[in-house]
Amino acid sequence: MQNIQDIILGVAVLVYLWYVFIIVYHLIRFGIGVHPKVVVLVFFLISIFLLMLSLWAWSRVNWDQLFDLIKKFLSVTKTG
Amino acid sequence: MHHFIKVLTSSVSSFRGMIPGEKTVLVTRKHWFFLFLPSWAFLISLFLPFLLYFYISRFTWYPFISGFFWFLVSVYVLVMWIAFSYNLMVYLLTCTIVTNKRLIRIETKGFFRYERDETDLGRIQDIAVKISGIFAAFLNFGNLEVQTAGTVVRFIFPQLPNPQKIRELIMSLQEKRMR
Repeated sequence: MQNIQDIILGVAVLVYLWYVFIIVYHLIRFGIGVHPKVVVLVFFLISIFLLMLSLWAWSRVNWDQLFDLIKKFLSVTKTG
Repeated sequence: MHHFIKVLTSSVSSFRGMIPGEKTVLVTRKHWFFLFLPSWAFLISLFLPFLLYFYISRFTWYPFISGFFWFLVSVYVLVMWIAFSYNLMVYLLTCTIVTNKRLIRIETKGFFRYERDETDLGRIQDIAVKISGIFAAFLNFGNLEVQTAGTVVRFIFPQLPNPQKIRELIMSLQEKRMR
């Protein structure tokens, strides 16, 4: 179960980083003037900060407790 | 690497596809109002998880899922951030460039999708300014419609700030070019 969670997390992080890269690439490659370049710097820093925040939130989730709760909920709904 | 540094340090006036002797006079984008509107929508949507928190935090099972709830909130914020940044990117990369030789319109429609129209200043026959609506009148933005003698006979530059001033600038550049 832990492996599946890690794979899902890894794929999600890669997809997120891909979008960050594409936006940075567009702003640097096609941006005209100073504004897009300043935006790139701010965007990149905030993106990394938010990613770190999400990874921290992920690490704080008690998955066993959560799955137990889901199992209990399902058993209650099955037995009515 | 050299190209990367060159792109990062390029001056305000340079852009891809400049022709020899060309100087950028103006780079303008749509009026800030068109960035402000979606930005408000994103800002308001950021409060939704906190409203949900006030609702579900009353339940007895909330302490068991609080960690997972805040993880979902952080993912939601990530998605909203990317969506907002995409909008900002489209706004910044859609621009009108006035040079001493040409009038260029670049419209970004998404990732790797953009349209570029341009006309020589010498081909411009008429420039009309169209301001319609209460916001446009108050905030001073409108469309610039350029009639040309080229194959694409009519260029529309939508929602530009100070369209009258841009019109005057283009006409003065055209006069200089004719001399």
